[in-house]
Amino acid sequence: MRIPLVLGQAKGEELHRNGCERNPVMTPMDLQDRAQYLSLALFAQQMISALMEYADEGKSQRLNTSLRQALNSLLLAKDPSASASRKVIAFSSYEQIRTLEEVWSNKDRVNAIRMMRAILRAPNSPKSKEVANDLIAMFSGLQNQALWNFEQPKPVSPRVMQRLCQLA
Amino acid sequence: MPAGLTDLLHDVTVLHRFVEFMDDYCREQERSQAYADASGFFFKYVENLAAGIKQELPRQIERASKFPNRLPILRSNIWTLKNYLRLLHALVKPAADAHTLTIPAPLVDLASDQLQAVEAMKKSTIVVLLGSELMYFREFSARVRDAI
Repeated sequence: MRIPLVLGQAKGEELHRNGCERNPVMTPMDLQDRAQYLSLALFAQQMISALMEYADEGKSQRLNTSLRQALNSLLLAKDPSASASRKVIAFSSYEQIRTLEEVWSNKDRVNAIRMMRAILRAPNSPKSKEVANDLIAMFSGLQNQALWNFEQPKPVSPRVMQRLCQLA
Repeated sequence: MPAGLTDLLHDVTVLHRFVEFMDDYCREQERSQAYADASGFFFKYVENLAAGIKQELPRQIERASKFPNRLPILRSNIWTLKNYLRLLHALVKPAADAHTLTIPAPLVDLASDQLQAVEAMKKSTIVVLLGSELMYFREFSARVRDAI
């Protein structure tokens, strides 16, 4: 039964010998952490599409649901115990929260929440369309960073891993 | 034609070819093998996704023509879709190759039931993959056999 553990060690040694941290070819084993970044990029894309339909064409069929989902996810991102018990579609994993923190400061997050609430409150206001454009720019930044991290995933440092284990 | 639109058209063309390739590969697998398990659903999922992306691409081009200021964002959207397909592509061949294995179906079903008992995984199924990691298990079982 030691075989899977031996597999992990052997793979690590091989990578160390080759002098590179990560295999450029995507393998099924490599996908688990990378998929989290892509999931975040897809979430951002869904938000951007709904906001563009609203800002450019005045369509708001998808807007309400998308904004509420994003709002819930952002609000619960700071409270891991709450997000574990509720269904959130984004910011529910280490990789996603790290990406969020790389792109949006705390102030940005508060602003994004305020902007989403403003659009939900008055979707027919012309000012809401301007706000939607600001949100599109913010989610575009998030999508680009998630795509970048998908291509260049950074390994979790031992110190952070220790902290995560203590939190679990 | 704006320069950005040419770049977008290039991205769309590349993505369309990739989608066609994945679609054809999955259809070919379904024709050549009878996949009654989760692998069959997985191939069907890829086919449906391919159909959805093919429908979406003309809409992206239309939007780019109408709203050229959105071009950088639309290109990012295309890259996101392409990367999602890359991710699926890494799984499709190992899933297709797994038909050569003698799979312990009751064990996989049991694991699948256990997985579905988790609240957030209710609709999940297990697709068996044949990858390099599985070879170790083969070696392990061979060692067990020799030891007996």
